[in-house]
Amino acid sequence: MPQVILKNIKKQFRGNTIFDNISICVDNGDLVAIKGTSGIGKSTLLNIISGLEKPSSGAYTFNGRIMSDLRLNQLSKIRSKQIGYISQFSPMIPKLTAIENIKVPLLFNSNNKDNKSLTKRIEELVVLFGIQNIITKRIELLSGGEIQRVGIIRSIATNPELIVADEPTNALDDETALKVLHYFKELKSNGTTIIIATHSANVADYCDEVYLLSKEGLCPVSERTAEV
Amino acid sequence: MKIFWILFKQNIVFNIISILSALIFSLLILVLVVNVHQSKIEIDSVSHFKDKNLYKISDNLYNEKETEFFSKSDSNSILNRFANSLANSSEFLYYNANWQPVEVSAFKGDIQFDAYYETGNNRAEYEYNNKKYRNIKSMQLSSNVFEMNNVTLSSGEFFSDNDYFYDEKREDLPVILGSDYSEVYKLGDRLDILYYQKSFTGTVIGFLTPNQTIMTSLDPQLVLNRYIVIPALFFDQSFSFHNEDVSANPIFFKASLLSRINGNLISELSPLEIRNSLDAIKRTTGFTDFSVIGAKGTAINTIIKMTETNKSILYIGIFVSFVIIVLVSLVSMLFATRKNVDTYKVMLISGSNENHIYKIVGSQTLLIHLIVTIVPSLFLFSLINNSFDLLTNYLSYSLFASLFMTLTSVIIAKICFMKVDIIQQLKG
Repeated sequence: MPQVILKNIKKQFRGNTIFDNISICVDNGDLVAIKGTSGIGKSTLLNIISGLEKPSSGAYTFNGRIMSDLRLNQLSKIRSKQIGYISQFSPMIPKLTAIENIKVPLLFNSNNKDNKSLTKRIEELVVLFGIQNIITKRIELLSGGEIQRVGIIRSIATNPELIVADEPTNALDDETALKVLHYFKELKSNGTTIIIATHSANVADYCDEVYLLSKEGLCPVSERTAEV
Repeated sequence: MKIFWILFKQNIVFNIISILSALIFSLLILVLVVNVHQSKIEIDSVSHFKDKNLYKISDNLYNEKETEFFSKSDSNSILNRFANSLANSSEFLYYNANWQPVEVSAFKGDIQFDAYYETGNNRAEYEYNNKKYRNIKSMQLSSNVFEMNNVTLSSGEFFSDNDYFYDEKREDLPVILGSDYSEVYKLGDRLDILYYQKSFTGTVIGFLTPNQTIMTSLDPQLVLNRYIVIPALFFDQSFSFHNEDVSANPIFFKASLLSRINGNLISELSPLEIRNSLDAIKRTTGFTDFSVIGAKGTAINTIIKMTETNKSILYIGIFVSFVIIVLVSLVSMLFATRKNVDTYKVMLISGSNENHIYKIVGSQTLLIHLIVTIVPSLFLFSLINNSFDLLTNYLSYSLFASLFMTLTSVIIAKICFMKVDIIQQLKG
């Protein structure tokens, strides 16, 4: 059974329809890119997939559970344990250090508290993304690229089953962006599902499947190209 | 707990303002509770006097008249008859609240209990029968004084009916101590007392609740905190004033009788009606050397009015202060919430949700208010003689106020979330 199933999803915001008739199935370990023009609703779609927002209509099933029917607290539990969310510009808690920001999700995930393997994983990620020199610095003192790397580590530190990433490499230099994409590949090979919203053709090239979001709905890029 | 600390660190200034506002808020509640409590005591203590007239009996026995009167062999019996007739009259209430210091040997209290401490004229300790005595504040009260003024005890018991009657050669005297004595003596302690130069062994049978006041002819609201209260002694009609005891202690009997007849009459009767009533007592007892000082109830009613007005002014003052403090708290909460938007975004993408964040915001406010509630509680314990009634009232009001502020902070957070639309902001 696919891990993520969206069926006829419609989203309205302040009376306007952002998108309609969105249907997609994503299997475990898939790396999927969603492309589309600015303002088309890619971030909103990712918010729905990550459980941050609910669709106006349609059904969203994650790991067999109908997310659109769940209460906020139930959604939170799923999000804290199974879904990692990477924002385009990762928000940070200003007065905390980088490492303290990375560990914030642990406050909301009872399974991961005081977990030695998790600490080890964070240490590895810090080294992998090259931020070992800044982890004790306060966020206010970091550059945009450094903050984005902290945000990425924070979202994947808890080893979620699904990673939802909204333009994750926008604020990164090419080398780091490449590292991130390589790491996504590695995660995918371990069975993690990754859905990325992106403008970048390079990022899309790294993905197994690429979908295009338009007013009419979501369709695979090859299919769309064929139609064109 | 860690999340509270994180949120606190984000806006130290606003959080300190919130804590200070909460502290002032708690102190205001304390002021309100203490004053309401005190006003209640004051109004309760004078409520029985409302719309009544107060008259004072004053003997005219001085100089030659005194010598002449006490030269009679039955002078004490005449005074006693007169006093008992006053006490037994059904037309008015006879009320004895006599201010008369007593001498106490080996007194344990400090100088604030001395009879003339407030006026700065404390008398030096003196020696009598090889004992050192100090002149200590004391009131001699009839039983109706306790009832009329709604006097209450924090521990022990009131005087029994028998305690007011003097038997021949009586040497024991029950005493009730004001609240300031609670750290000095305990129930059952014995005091060596000289009362009108007669030696008594006083036994502590009770302690007054703090700030008990009584109406006296000298002070309409005499605070009893530092007083030794003893019964205003009565002599039975059959008491013989021709015995060894009287011969040995003439001053005690004379002074006791005089203080007993110089009491107050409380009645709804007009001055003319009171005079008629006293004329009848004059005729039956044969005691005529006294005057009655008439007073309408205006003074009593004025005190009640003033207390009520003070209470109203206090309520208005406290209400205005509350409004100001609540506004300051609300503004600081609003700013703190708006400044925390980035933190809330991180919390949301880390597995929290709006309801959880509202709970955290509310819990943070509740925690601040509950913690700062402790500070005035300590004041209450140290300054107001461990008054549990006050403490309970204060804690109840504080809890209610804390819940109100908690609810308000949650509403502010909700409004802030609606206006800022954090989920939309995540989209960049």
